[in-house]
Formats: sequence, C-alpha cells, structure tokens
Amino acid sequence: MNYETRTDQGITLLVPDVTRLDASTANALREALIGQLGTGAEKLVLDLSGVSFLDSSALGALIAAAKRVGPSGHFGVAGTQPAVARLFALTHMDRVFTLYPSTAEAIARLSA
Amino acid sequence: MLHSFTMPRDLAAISPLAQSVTALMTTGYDQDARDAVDLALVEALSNAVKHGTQESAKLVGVDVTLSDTEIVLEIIDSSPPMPLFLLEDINPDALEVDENDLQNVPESGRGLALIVMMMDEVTFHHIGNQTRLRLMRRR
Repeated sequence: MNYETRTDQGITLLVPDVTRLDASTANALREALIGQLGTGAEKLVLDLSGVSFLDSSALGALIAAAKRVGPSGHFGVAGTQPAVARLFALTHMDRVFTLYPSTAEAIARLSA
Repeated sequence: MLHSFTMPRDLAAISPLAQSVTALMTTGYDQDARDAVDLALVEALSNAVKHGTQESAKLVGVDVTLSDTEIVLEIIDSSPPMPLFLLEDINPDALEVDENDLQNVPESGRGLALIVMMMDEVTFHHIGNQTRLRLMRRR
C-alpha cells in the first residue's frame, strides 16, 4: 500500500492508493498513520473516500492510531463508503475516532 | 451450482478470491448481501492464513454453492482455522467499545464476531485431518 499526504490549514490528510484495506495492507496502514502522528502531525485525517472495503485487520490499524493521539491532537476518518460505514457502525468506531462525511467537512470543522 | 477455488497461504491472495466469489452473486442478491459475503469470507480466510498451518504448500480451499435460496461458502483447510470452542463461545461483547478506556480497546479479535453477524448460519466441521468452516447467507 502506498499513500499520499497533504496538509491543509494545519490538518494532515492521508490518502491510501488502494480500494481495499485488508490484512495484507493493515501493517503498512498502521505504520503510515503512526508515522504521521510521530512526526508531529497533530491533526490527522484518513481519507477513505476511495476505499470500498475494510476488514477487522485494517480496523485494528485505525484503533492503534487513535490510541497514539496526544491530548491536543486529533484523529479522524473522512468519506466512508457504505460497506465501510456499516462496519464502523457495527464495531462502534465512532467512539474511537471522529467520522466526517468528507475531507472538506473535516477541514472545515477542525480549522474552525 | 458449485464453484471451487483454492488460494495460497498468502494474505495478498485473499481479497482477489473474495472478489471472485462476490462476482458470482449476480442475480437475487443486493449490494448488502455481497458486502456481507465479502467481509465474512475475508475474515475467515485471514484467520486461516494467520492461524492455520505454517506449511506453505497446503492451499486453502473455498467451495461456493449458489442455490435459489442461499449462498453457502465452505472454507476448507488442512488444519483447524479455529478451535471449535471459539465458535461455540462467541462473545457477544466482542464488538463493544468503552470510549472512556480507549487504551484498552482491543486492536484485534473481532473477525469471528463479524462473520457471525454477516451470515445467517455459521458451522464448523472437522472431518479427518480436514476442517470446513461453513458460512451460509440467505438471499
């Protein structure tokens, strides 16, 4: 799995280049997210608008990232497609990280 | 109709196989059913690759049977993909989260609970040195 990052109004957006996040990509996802948080990205948003499938291994990577957010930091997930949104609802991930309808919405709310 | 697939013990082989299976669900199934089969099969195959035999020569088999009423997936492995008691003892709280104790929210262990939620029936059979995890979803 490769990914792009861009920073907009102090918010780091991480965009994976795959449509499916599963056990074969979970470690790379975890390292990417934790790496961003470790290099001082206080506010990190994962853009899942291009991801149609996500499994419990990838979910573990997101939870690992949420645990590493500092007191003044933030981790959010933006742009979930229906299957991913359903998985997040079943597993109560809205209690672990913030869900945004889109990256634009995440930036608007986090930079306000 | 029966469709048989085999897969090397390689995590990268899981999603392509699951996509081949959901591609068979052309008539009578909605996107919710395809998504459910996709997730349950990926979780079951990940479990087989991560926790099954380390003998890489042994392939994982998937038999898919489509009928007018249901789709049945049988994940066939040469070693137990999970001990039987795990299936009997599925913890209904496995998907619960205590947001006030984020550091202790588990990062794994949800696969089996998700399989059970996605499917109408989950059974496990041990025949000789072969194990079959049978997943059924009605149309």
